Amino acid sequence: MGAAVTTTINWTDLEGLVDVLRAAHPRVDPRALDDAELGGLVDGLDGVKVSGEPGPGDFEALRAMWHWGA
Amino acid sequence: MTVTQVSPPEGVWFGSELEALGVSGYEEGDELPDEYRELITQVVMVQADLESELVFDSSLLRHNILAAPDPRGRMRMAKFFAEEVRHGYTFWRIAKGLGVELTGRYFREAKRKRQEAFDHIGAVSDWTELAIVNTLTDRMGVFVFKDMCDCSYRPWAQVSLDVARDEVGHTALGYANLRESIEKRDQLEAAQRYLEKWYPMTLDMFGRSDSTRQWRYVAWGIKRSGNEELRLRYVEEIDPLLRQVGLEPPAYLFNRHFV
Repeated sequence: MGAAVTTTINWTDLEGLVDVLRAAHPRVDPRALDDAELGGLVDGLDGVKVSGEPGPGDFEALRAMWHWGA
Repeated sequence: MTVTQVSPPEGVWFGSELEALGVSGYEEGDELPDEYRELITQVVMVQADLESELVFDSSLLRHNILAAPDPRGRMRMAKFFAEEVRHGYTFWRIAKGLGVELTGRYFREAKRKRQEAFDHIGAVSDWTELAIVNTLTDRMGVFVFKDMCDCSYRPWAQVSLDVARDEVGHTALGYANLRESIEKRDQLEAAQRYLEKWYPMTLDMFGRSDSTRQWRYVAWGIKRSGNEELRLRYVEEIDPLLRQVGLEPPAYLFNRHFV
């Protein structure tokens, strides 16, 4: 058995993070989630390590990019 | 100047008037107590005044969609306004259910008193100002509509749930646009100027802290919170977001007209 592949994304790469979240949670409406809930989804991403520390504005921008599209 | 009144007066709580009548809420077409009808109509008309005009006059849509600096921004604003037009239609329909027929002529004549902030929206000068407007006023909408999600007028409760969710998306879009304007187009100074214009207007839009009518809304189970309580919660949420992009929120009472 090979080791699980882990991708690393930094909080500064919001577009990359949104792509991963969309793929992992295609039915989620990000407008229905508060910052803590969004953070929970990010922390729970399978095979993805997210580095850096988000501020409240990062969650808000993430919510917008996820909902409104690239 | 101090602002102190946050809680309702003694004997008033959410739905206290309804409890006294043994009623849990009302549906469209129900016979409504006179004061209740007046208050719920006022709530609906305030929102209709803000957004139902879009159903009759599309000039604001064009102006603001074209303000976006690139195709992606225009696409997002077009989707944004599709939701705003839907809100406008919904408010128009609820008003009609309360016996108020809104027409294009009504809006053109602007007979009703408008909130100051919305007189300025048609005159938004650029994309950065629009981003500030969406960041601030649409977040105000989130607070106002979430506060009415269990409104005793059931049709309005459902509308409030839907609109609150949309407004979360709108304010997030405004913030993303604002952040991009500041970080990628060097608009920090302009954004601070627009913030100082719109921040006090937005705080005013929550209403006066000493309003007696606000507690009648609470007593009839139309709104859950008083004006000042909502405003304070709003400030607690918006100020850190503004500071994170390098903006400094004005003082709480700066340039306020309705304290």
